[in-house]
Amino acid sequence: MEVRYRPGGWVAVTGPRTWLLVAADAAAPLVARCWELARAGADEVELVGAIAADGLRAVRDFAVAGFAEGAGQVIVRGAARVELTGTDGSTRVVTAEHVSTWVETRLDRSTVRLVLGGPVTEGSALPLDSGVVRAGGLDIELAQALVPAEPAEAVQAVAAPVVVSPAAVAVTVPETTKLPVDERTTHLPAEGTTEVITHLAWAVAEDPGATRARPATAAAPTLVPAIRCDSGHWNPPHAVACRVCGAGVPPQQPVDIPRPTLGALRLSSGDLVQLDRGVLLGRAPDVGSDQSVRPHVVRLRSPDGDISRNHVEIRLLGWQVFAVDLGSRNGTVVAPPADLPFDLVAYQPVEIVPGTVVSLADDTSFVFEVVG
Amino acid sequence: MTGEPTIRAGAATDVGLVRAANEDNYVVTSSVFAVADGMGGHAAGDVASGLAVAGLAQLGLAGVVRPEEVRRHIVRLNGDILAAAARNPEQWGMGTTVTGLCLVDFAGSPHWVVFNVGDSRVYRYAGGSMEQLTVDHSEVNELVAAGKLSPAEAATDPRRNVVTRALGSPTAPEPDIFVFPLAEGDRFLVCSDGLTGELDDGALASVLASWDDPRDAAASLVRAAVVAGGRDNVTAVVVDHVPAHTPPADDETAPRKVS
Repeated sequence: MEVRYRPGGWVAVTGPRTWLLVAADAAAPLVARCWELARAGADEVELVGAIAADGLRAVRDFAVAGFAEGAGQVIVRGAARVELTGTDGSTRVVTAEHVSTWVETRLDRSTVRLVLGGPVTEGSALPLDSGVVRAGGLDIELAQALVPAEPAEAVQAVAAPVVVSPAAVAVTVPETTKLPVDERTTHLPAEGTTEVITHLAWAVAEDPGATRARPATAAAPTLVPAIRCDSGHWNPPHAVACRVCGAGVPPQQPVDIPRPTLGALRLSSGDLVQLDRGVLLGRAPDVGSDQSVRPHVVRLRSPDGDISRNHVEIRLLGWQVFAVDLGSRNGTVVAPPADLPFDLVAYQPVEIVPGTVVSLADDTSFVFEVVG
Repeated sequence: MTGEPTIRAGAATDVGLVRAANEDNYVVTSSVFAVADGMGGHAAGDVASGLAVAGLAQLGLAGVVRPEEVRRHIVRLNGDILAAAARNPEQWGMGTTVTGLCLVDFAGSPHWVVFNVGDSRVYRYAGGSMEQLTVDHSEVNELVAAGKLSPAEAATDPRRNVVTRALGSPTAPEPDIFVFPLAEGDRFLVCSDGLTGELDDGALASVLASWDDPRDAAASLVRAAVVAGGRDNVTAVVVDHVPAHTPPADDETAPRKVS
């Protein structure tokens, strides 16, 4: 694995298994949050959680990639783009144009190189294994391509890139990283070519993040900020009326709780599946093993074969519920409760509200219901 | 998939080397595979876990089960255990974990429901790798989730045996329920924390890989945990979905006919 960045106006955050490029100020709290997670070995889903913690509107453009043990994921939002290079030398670009949330793609061993790009880059690519820099692009070699990779470019003086000092990196890389110290630090540009971040609170070496690692067991519950109605139903912090009983919700200080069940999908067969996690539906659904929280998986009967193997997925983010068509052959139709039905665009998540009907085929659909 | 799936299961339990009584119980029927780890004084833990598995054995007797019935059934068991404790003061405060798999019919085809209350676990072993399907309802797991404890610290933390959900609670606990379709060749391990407290995932996987018959695998796991220390009651249920000989035909998605 080799990571290089191109200087630019965005911020890159890199850790042992995750890489982020985001249009944000280097001092933004989200950069600090992501750095804590990335260097502790968090996966890409945890990074997206940290980015979206202030709401999706707070950050427009980002690309996140994660890869470990032969599997991973790329998540792209706004003006960011990611170019994937396969073992056969073919390339593919993932963008999120005209998408209101984000676009994601799974990675496996057939991907050898990722290039995360913002709109502008300046100067040459510089090596960076773990750290935070002002960057316009990130170039990640996942595996040795069939064509030998270009030799690393010589370090040049650049406008004003910001790099965590070698000492700080050496101290703060978690012990779970198996790289020896010299390998972690040798790729850093020579002293004098970079401006070390020392004025930021999270750059200090005593940070407790260094000792924190990703839980070894199955994923822990997702926490959400919540307030309660008078009947005790949990609601999003800005709720005015209770999502379960409709009663007014008095103003109060939100508390973090494990996310409650957001409702259920009522299938046309009459079956009910609870939205305590996401749901993958299809004729022969196959969930990647890279997801930290496994969705429910529903196999739908399709005697005519017009439902695709992996057809549609319901994803939960905070209190929101999204429907994503997984590139199904015959498409997915979403009918909101008080609006005209429309076709989902493949891989573009659309938020759905209670009462929405999602149709996969003429006789196969489900309704998103809120249950108390 | 055509016809009934072929499921084989084996189970084993041992009191361990330290505890005076075995308060674990398990159940294996044609459609329910579960472990219950009881807690409470005066052998009340054994009563609670026994009530839980006896109740679970009822699932499926009245025909095809749906996932929602599994949830309702477990919530009802909470009331049964509370009622039993109310009738017998010695059993006051008894409780139990309950964790396992149930074959259900969902959307017209067979699916598994994994259910969990407490810190017993269900793993899937497929293609040579282990995956924990349940999330422990334990204090240390919640501390790890909140970033207040590292997983390494959690393994030795004195609070590691404190469960945050159990049957027998005054307020019925919400069981975790996880639905997914059957896949031939899958092997599942349902176990109490007496097993996972002694053997890490790698050790569990190597035992599961060594034995073809699920009864041998379950017995071997329990034996290994006792040899490793046996500080708690140890129970393992191994469930195999045996592959049929005819590979399932699954053609391309057909374009929808437009009338």
